[in-house]
Amino acid sequence: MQELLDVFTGMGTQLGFASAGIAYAYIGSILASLLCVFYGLVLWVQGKVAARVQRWQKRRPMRKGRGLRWGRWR
Amino acid sequence: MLFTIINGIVVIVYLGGVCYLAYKGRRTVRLAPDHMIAGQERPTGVLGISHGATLIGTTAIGFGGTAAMFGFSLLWVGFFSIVVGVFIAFVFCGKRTRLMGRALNAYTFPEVLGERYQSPFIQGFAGIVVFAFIPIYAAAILIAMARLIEVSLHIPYVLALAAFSLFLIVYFILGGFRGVTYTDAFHGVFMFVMMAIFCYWTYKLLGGVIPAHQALTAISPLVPERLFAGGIQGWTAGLRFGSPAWWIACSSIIYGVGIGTLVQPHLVVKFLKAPSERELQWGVPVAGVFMLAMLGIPLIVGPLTNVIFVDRFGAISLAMAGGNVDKIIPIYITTIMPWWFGLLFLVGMMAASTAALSSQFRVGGTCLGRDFYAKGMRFRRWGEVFTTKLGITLAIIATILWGFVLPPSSIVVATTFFFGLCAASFLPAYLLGLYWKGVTRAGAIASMVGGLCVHFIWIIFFHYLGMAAFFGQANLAVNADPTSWLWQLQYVDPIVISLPISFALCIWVSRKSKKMPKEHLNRCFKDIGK
Repeated sequence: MQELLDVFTGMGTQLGFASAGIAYAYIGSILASLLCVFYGLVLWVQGKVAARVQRWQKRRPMRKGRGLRWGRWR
Repeated sequence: MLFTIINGIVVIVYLGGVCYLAYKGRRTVRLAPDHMIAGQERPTGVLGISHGATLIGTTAIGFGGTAAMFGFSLLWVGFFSIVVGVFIAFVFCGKRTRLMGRALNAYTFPEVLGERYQSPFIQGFAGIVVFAFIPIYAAAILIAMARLIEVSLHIPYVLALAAFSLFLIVYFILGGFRGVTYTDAFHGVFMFVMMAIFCYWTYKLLGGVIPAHQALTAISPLVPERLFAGGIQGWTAGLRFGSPAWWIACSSIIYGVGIGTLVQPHLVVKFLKAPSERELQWGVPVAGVFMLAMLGIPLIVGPLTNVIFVDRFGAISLAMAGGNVDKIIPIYITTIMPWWFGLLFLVGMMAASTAALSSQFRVGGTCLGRDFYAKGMRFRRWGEVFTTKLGITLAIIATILWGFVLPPSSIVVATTFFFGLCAASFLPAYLLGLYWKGVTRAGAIASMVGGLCVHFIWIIFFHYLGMAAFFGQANLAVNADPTSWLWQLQYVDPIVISLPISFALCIWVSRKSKKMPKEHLNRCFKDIGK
């Protein structure tokens, strides 16, 4: 825990700044931008999965037997 | 000299091309909605690019220059602009605004408010406030452009401002509505690449990321005594708590701009014209990255210009620009960056500024024509398109006049003024109206009128810029003891006081007044939550 705190307090010096707060703003801006990118990616993946499920549901046989086979309607 | 002539030729060719595009695009503007929102069809991702590149990016010259004075502390503006102005705006407001706007058949930001609260007064009031004050924000973009032209082409500032204003007038007479709608994506991507080169080149000149920051830390004793006394302890150190610089940076620039981005009328129009929810979803990552590039990079490069100027010319950035922070980035580009970059940056900024100003003027015009004249004054649709065009013309004229009147170093001041004013007047009614069915018409009116009045009272009587600007006198707090909290009040931005009061008025009056009809609320929220 102490090591983590030391990393946070020493972040400013490690990045060449005189204060840790500036380092938080610097990294925070990049992380905020990445948050937006990840949010977009998550929604994109969700959309892909939903589309795949929808396609898979369409492919399932509605009624087995009576001339209907696995796969699409003929 | 040769480079100046080449720059001049390229600029003239570019301006001619844009005017031709505007003339071609004119044929497609036929219906009233085209004048309001320029149609609704757009390719995916353009919304985010347009928002990130043109909402605030065009004033980045001013923000970069101000960061050269205040230091890296202003990077918090970049952080809040991405978190609040992009993530919260798109995720928590965008979808609801779009759905409510469609349910209520609203085309403009004041119309969303007016229809939500069934009040022509609210629509007219919001319309006239936006119309009256959006030219100040547009003037900030115009000044940024004029400063860049002044330094790049070595012509006087007044001539640069007049020439770019003349181009804008010709462009709008030719009908530049849809011409820029379809080139927004190109403008955005082009400026993104320019900003990436800008950042890379600066860090490369200084030997890398950490050496650059260390070099800036090393020259902190060069901070002028006057700035040090005002609270700036160094460009890589935080501002002294409670000092004038701390109040200006935190309350006006970081808080004011960070919160104000949420309720920009032209951003709400972008939500209203989003053709689908997918467009809004794509807007989040695209606008997040673009906002970082367009605002974050100038805020990083701005302070670093001090090291390079000290190294090459023996003077800090503020001294190089003669005390005018708006000229720091243009001077840095023309003296330090390669000439081809200066040329491309100039053309790119022209494109982005034209797109941004086009959006602002259209918003200003529709606020006068549709919201104030047709709905607020109850003249219905008679002469609406004519009044909208008149509003656009008046907005252009007012912007040009503000461009001439505003003093040096005013890009950030003008931007924070407009963002703060919008937040104090509209944020509670807009945000609570999207989420809480209990907001009433009286609550919204109290919040909007009360927020605006408190904002102006604070500016005129307490703020260090206000009373001097209006009456040429010192403000009420200036004679207090410099160590007291009363003296510090003059540096507190009005939004710190007016926004909480505006929220409190909205909630308190809504609880005490008559509720809105259930049928109307059902209509407003019919698509939300599905």
